[in-house]
Amino acid sequence: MQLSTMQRRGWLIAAIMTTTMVALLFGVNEAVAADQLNGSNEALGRITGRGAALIGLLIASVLVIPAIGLVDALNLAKTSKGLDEPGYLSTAGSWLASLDHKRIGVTYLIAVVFAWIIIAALQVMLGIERMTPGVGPLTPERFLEAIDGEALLFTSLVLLPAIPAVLGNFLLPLQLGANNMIWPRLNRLGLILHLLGTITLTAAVILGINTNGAVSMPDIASYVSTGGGVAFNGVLLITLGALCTGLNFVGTVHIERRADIGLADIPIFSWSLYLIGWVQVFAGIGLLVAIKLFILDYDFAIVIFEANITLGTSDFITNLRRAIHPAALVALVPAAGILTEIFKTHAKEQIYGEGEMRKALIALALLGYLAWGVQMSFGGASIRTQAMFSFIGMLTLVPIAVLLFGWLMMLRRTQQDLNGPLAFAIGSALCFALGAVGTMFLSALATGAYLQDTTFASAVFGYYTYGAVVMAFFGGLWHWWPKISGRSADSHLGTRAAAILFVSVNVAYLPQVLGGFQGMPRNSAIFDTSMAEYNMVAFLGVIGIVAGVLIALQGLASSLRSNAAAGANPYESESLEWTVSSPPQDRNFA
Amino acid sequence: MTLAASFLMRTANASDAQNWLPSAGAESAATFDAFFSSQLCWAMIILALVLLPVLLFFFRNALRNAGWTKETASTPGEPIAALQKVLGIIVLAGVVLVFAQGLDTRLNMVVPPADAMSVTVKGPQAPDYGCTYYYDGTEVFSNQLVTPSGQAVALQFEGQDDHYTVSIPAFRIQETVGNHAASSWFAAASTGEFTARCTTRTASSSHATASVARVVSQEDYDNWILTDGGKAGPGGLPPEMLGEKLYVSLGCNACHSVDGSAVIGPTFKDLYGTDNRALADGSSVTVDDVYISQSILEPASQIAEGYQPVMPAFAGRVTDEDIANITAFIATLAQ
Repeated sequence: MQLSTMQRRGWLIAAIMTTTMVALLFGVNEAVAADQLNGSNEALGRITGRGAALIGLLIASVLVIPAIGLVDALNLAKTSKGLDEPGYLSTAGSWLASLDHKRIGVTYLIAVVFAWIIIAALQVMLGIERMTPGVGPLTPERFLEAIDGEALLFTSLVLLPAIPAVLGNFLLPLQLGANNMIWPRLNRLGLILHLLGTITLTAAVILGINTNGAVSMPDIASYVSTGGGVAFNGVLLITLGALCTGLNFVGTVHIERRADIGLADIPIFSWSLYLIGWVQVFAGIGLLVAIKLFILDYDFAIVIFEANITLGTSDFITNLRRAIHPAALVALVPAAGILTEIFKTHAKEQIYGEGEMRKALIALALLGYLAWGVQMSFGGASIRTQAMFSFIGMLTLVPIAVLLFGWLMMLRRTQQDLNGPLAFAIGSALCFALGAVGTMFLSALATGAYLQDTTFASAVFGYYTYGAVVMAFFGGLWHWWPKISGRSADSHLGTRAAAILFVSVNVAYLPQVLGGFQGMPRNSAIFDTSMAEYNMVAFLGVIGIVAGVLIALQGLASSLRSNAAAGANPYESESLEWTVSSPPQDRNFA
Repeated sequence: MTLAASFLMRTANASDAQNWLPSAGAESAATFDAFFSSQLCWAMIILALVLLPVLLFFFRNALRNAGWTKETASTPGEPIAALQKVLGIIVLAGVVLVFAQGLDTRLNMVVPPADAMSVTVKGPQAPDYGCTYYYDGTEVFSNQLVTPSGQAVALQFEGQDDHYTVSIPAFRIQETVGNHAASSWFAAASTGEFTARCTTRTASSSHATASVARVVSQEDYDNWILTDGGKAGPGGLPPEMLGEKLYVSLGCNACHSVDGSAVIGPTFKDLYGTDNRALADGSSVTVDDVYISQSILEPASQIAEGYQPVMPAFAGRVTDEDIANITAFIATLAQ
């Protein structure tokens, strides 16, 4: 049955609205669950009834549905309004005002690099503190703020947006044979929100550490009570931005893909972006609602929770951890998409078991979202809840095993030589495996309870994030750099940067694994001298990671000065994005 | 260097839990260690399987670059989709197995045997953020965990608002406690001293307080409960807690409340630091260390207004240190 474009749009908007409703109820439920998991009395976690649902519905309908309708209507009436100046590089205004998905993607890249520089400075600072037993350069209070600031910044400004917002924005329409995203204005709105959020969050962290803590999670909690703090608003802005991006991914895949490409036939990176789009819509709304319910209850004295719930420190920490920890698993989805594309293109192999890999990506997105309790802590929850999260966490190993198997089979069969993208992809795949092994320890109940809240848990997070996701991101940048910039990135330099990153990630996190086995607590500025040696080695790793990323960034930047044009299709790939010029013209295929 | 050496040494015998964990101080750790060892085995197998094709790729790469092998024109044939399905099912089965083992081990560790002696653990409190151990059936409480050997000990964790984590790696105990109570247990056959940690995170900072968990002979334990349990020592109780013990053991609590209610004598609540306390003879004094000391040693010398002179003199019954401890306790009630 062939549907007309208008019918497809209708169905899509119906699907998004339904998801919104479900996400909303889920968000309300999550607020309750977080409250209970924190160990508040069961009675405290019960909602008073209709009030909550009504308020939630109100928020979501105000937030999302008219926005989609409005933007869609604007988009239908869209003609060229002269916003897109000809020429690829021009004034800053033309970048911020551009509706072109490629320019938006590149602007995201700049925002991500800017945020990373601040994060790297924080990580070096934390590494120095960790090397110092007893009170080091940072007081325990400042240390805590720096740790929270780093986690918040890294998750919301690098880990989650890096692949979808930069590479996803640039490549999704190209891979689908589309001229632009379905809702370009929504996309631009997302970028502006993200930039505002980036400025707000980084400012909050920098000011917070220098003055008196405007950033640490407990402080965010106290800010909620006084009407919203700086960092808190930053998180809301970023989440809203991600919601815009997610809606666009979903809509573009459904409506804008070329008529002869079936949904199951879109390139596998687009497939992973499509999945992450749904996760961003669902999780974004859930998170917004959960946080807003707390504000309404606490700030505006609308009784949503039975009894007089005081928003405790740990309530809020749990809420934000809930947002941060599944991020590691969810961020693996687009990373896995990139790895598959790289192995397919550079190992010159067909995707090994493509159907299975697509299913594995669905499972990873779903389980990753549900597994939020695993890396948090088993403590404070009933043994039944512990068992549930343990099982979900263990299940994530199945899709990861299927994906790994596919990549390794492609690697085993290839006759190709090592190059930049392949080097990053191999390093990333190995970190996938290391992270998965760590997840096995963390998810299984007995070992999980022993290792929770030790540096072991941080190390697993690190293997998944800096190892798997960041290396996949650079692999993707190296792979698609000819398309993005028109210049090829130096392959040897890429191999070197990948090697430095992989070694450094291990030097940084292996000592944390060993320390965790010995019971070294994480997030603690003061610890026994016996752990100082581990932290000393880990610090070298942190420096190595920073150096590796800087070398990779410098390699990409220096390629821009090269005169050798890469050409439209340097890899002889059959994928659609390589059929247009490098870089592509304003309206890709038009 | 020592770290690298010890790492290599441990890798040589990788699947033995004792190589990676602190040496076990309790027999009850054996179940955990067995599970941990099986996890290590899985980890080694998985990592070997993953590394093998990667190393092969680099090896063939090197051979080609050295010109020892030629490009083969043969294509390796179609991928076998069934392989991936089979792999998925095998991993799923393994996952269920490990999950079940983990759950079983965990239940084993948190449900104490019926004959275990019970120690209640209270979460970290300011100012030193250590945990406090209450020895059930006695009036002893301490910031040290001292237990008799050859006896199963159940730790009953009390819930509190801020999460806290108690970790005794040698016993494989690590419990994070929220508002719900939790429990854990261990049984140590031989005596020894082990690291115990209490970590918490409050609104403004995080704390990791190390203390010592001591396993002593039954005789030493009984002795400790009778004598040392109440005494300050290196890592012993802070003065205000010793003062609280004295408040009970000397019987002060019969007449002086700590909650503001007037009983036979005036309450201790918000007493310390008061600068115009009216006395029965019409004068007024500042409540400081000197006043409290004087009131304990010779109560009749300064009767508070509105109360009868019924308190016995404690001169000769308490030491200066005891008085200092009681004063510290009273001072904590005035905050």
